[in-house]
Amino acid sequence: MKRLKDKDIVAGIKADSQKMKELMYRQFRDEFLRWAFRNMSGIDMDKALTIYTDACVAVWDKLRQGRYTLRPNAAFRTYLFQVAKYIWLNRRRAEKKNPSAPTNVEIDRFPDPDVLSENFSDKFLADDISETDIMERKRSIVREVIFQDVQEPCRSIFRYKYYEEMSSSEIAEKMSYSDSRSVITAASRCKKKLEIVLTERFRKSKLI
Amino acid sequence: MRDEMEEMVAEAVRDKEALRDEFAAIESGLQRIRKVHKVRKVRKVRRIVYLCVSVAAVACVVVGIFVRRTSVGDCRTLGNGVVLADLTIARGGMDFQPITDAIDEGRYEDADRMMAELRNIPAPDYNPETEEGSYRLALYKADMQTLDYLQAVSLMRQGRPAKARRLLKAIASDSSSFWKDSASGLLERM
Repeated sequence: MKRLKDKDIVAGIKADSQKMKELMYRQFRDEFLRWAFRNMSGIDMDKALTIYTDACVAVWDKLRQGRYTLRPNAAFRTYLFQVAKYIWLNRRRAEKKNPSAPTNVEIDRFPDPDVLSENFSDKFLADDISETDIMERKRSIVREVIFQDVQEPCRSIFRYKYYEEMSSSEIAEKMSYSDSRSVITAASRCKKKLEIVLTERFRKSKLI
Repeated sequence: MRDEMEEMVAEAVRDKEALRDEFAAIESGLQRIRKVHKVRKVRKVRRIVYLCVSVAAVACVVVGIFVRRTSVGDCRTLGNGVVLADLTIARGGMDFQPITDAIDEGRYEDADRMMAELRNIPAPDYNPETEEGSYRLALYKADMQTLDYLQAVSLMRQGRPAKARRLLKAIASDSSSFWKDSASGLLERM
């Protein structure tokens, strides 16, 4: 398979090309797996693939939305792997805090916003911004947090609730919760924690 | 969570999960293709292995045939080298001449039949206690040993090395056999 150039990949992502999605995924997949097995201790094939998929999702969204521009000397591969590493570190931190099954009522905490801003600083920090810009920037931060930082079981709850539009009882059945009330409690905890993180991020970016 | 924020979260989750599903579909497609490739590769390897095994088997058969032909040829040559005139002298009164003639003329079935007839004749009832009886018995035994040796030579000339070798071994291991040394010599050369 012919290796794509970084600028072609970025152009393809910006155009939201379906073909590029597959080409990009295939181009770095095996390389990433080798890199992951070498650098991420205790990782297995399934976890490595999940992290890689999540990294592709995050990078794709970020570049497509124009929220990140590759520096002239930076390689796309490096950026993708960095995002994957960040996701892995986040996940590992969350697992250490909550090693039990995802059905546990204990909801993971989202990562420290300082860590986030250190690695992925928000692009917009200017003082003079319009209401539309503010909304856009808020949306951008929300996407970043949702795409990279939400851990289980919040991730699954959000998926079932917003994407698959399941009812609480369906989610309870799917995630082995005792009843729909437990799902509602878990979901509200997730939302609350997400709100805290987002508010902090908005404040840091001077959006509120 | 405020409505505005919740709406943003819902939108982000929907976008993320949709994208995730697309990448997951790419991954499962990739794994399917790799599985097919793996199956093909295994089949290819299996085909090569089968081919190698077949070639090896054919080679074994060819070499086996060659070895057998060589062995049969050697055995015949060796058998033909044995002078049967020496074997016609019967000590105990048996007439080996017709047998040696049949072998020399290649009438092996006749020779076999004649040898079988001689073997079927009941052993003479000599008294081993007497000197005369013991002598006659020894001569009869010597004739039977000659018959065995003739049989071995006949088998060699027929190109039946395995059977001939078995018989020669039996003769060579019999310390009282008159043909012991000749049998050992033939065995060594086989």
